[in-house]
Amino acid sequence: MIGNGWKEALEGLPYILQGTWVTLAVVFGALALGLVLGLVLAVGHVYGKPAVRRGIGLYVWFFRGIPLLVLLFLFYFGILGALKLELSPFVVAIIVLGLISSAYQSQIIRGAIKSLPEGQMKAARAIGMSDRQAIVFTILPQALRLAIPGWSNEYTVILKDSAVTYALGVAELMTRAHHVAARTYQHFWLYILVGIIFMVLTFCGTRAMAMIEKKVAIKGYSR
Amino acid sequence: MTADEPILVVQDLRKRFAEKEILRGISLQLHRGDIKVLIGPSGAGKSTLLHCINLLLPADDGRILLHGRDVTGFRKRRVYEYRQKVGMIFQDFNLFDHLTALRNVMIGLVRVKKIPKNEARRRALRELERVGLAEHADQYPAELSGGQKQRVSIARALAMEPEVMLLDEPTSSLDPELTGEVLTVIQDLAAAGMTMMMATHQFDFAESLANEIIFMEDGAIVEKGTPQKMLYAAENLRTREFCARIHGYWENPER
Amino acid sequence: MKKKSLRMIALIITCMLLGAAGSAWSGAKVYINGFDAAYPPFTFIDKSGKPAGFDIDAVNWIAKQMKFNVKHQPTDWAAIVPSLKAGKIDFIASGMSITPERQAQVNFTEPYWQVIQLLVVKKDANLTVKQCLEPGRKIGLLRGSAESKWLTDHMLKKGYKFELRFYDTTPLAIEDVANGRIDAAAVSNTALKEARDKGLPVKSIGRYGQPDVNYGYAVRKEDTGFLKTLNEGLRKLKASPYWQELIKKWDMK
Repeated sequence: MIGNGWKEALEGLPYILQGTWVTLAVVFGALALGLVLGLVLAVGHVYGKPAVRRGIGLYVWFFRGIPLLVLLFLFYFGILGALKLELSPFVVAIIVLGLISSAYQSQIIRGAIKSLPEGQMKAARAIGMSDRQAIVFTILPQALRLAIPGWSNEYTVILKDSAVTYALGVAELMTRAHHVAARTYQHFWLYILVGIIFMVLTFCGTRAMAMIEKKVAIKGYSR
Repeated sequence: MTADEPILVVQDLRKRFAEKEILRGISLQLHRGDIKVLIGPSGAGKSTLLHCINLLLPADDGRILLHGRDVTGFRKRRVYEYRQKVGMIFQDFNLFDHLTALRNVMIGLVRVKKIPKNEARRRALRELERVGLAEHADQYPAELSGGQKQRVSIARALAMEPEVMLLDEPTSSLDPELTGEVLTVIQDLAAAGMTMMMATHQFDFAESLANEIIFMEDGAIVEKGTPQKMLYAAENLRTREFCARIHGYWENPER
Repeated sequence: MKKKSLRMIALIITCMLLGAAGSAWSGAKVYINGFDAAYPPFTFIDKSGKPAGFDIDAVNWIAKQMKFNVKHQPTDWAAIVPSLKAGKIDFIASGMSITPERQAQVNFTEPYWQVIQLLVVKKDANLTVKQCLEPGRKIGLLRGSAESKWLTDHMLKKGYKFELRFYDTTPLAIEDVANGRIDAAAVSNTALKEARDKGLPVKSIGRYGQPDVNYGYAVRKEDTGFLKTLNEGLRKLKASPYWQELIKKWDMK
């Protein structure tokens, strides 16, 4: 079914491209939520009391172990239905992807924190910083820089995962491609188109990450 | 405070890690202007003692008194205040790698003492000048030599205006040609009247600077006394054996 | 990474969440029609990106007549009944087959259209219906469709050993028949017509046993008032000349 259908496929491009904004919003929303939560979890996982650390371990195991689609439906129909919360699929997608990302990001950041020499924390304490100050002003600035490569990877993973959210009806790239394909039957060309768009998004994202990494790099810093 | 009341008193300090007793009842005193040097083999507990005095490690037993006040039971805010008064220099420098030399010195002033940035910068630069590193202010630790890094860490500790400085083998990680610049800075501090306790293997330095040398072995103080006595005419056999073994490190006038 | 930018991000997220939640509360009551965006000619997305189709036009006409606000929302078909029951949508007008299993979950309006359930194969294939139902054959269909339930209950459970392949949209199933990846697809005659109009080399080989199916609009069981409204609207529509116009427009005969 290859032939000349690409013209018809291209006609659907504007409609599909609108989905790009939705996709990017979902991805960045999830990444941001994942970062904020992941940071808190990482600090708790490294510096918290045993009970806290066990709890976080369970959280990570839960969100890393259950398939995305299952979690999406679990939240959309199960949990939110029980809580009688009116949240759109778009928001649910961000929340679920964000929670999953926080589980992974917490481990990335935790690894970065643990790779720092113990002396950093000691020195901060020695000049009279509280543990909270030591973590915020000496540990995290370094750990976050170390976590940027892992972040770049998270971006590509969430970008691809966002395509699954069409199952909730989120009007992102994949969903819209389905819609146009149903009308035109140009499945081949359309999914090639979507694949190209995803590749472009991945490329731009990882390049942006590399630029950020360069910008915040400390001269001579290497671990 | 009268001149003969000690600033810092350590009473019968004990510390164990798992089954092993690292500190077995250490007692000592520091008066204003004292420069006491800890010597002894590795594993004697010198580093642990210094970390306990600074409350970086909790002691299992015993007391630490600053100006007569027991700090051993301190928690949180009072510990943080105490640590500003008792500064510490580490063998591995432990500079904050993501900050320039200047910001390393400033951060304690800005975040802990809550001094406004401009004033903090002024004071930090002054401390860096004091250790001879003003023109390296905007360089990162990775760009500095070991001796320079240690000098910055001294400036960082001094910026907090401590009453006592603890130095945990400050030159042990340095190449021999770099130890001189650090020792000079420490000498200047001593001449300015800073109260110090230092663990070191630099015996000729200890001899010239210290007013008391304390020999530790296996977590206990074996003997203490003036440098002349300790290094050349110690009473205790163990002390004499240790000092004999290190004779090769410096010239020894006839005994 | 400064703490300030972290705070900014957290703020943005909170605003987004509040905005999304808030938009659900604002405004007069709008009835949301959950539809399968991949089921032309009944419901699909047109070139300009708007909902279109036989059912869409019909519902818009009924809404105007019966004076209620309506909004059309593309919904994944496999999740459409749970969506209705959970309150995410208010009714389903999207070429939905009335089946006893569905009637246990939701209420239907009176039927407004009838379709024939067929097996569709490649144009040059020499298959009979009987052959397609043999062990080893692959039959594709829409996930969550009435066909899938019927085939499972009335054939697979009765000993037939063909394999069912599920697709996210009906056109995808028919596409795979054309690709040769599956032997046949179980779809309605309208879906087949759409595919052939687009030039796909497929043909029907007749009914496979499922009785002809009636389409109706679905509502929640407790929405008896709204069901009455829709039924009245449907009656009015079928009696008006617009009904014939629609049939002609979408080439339904």
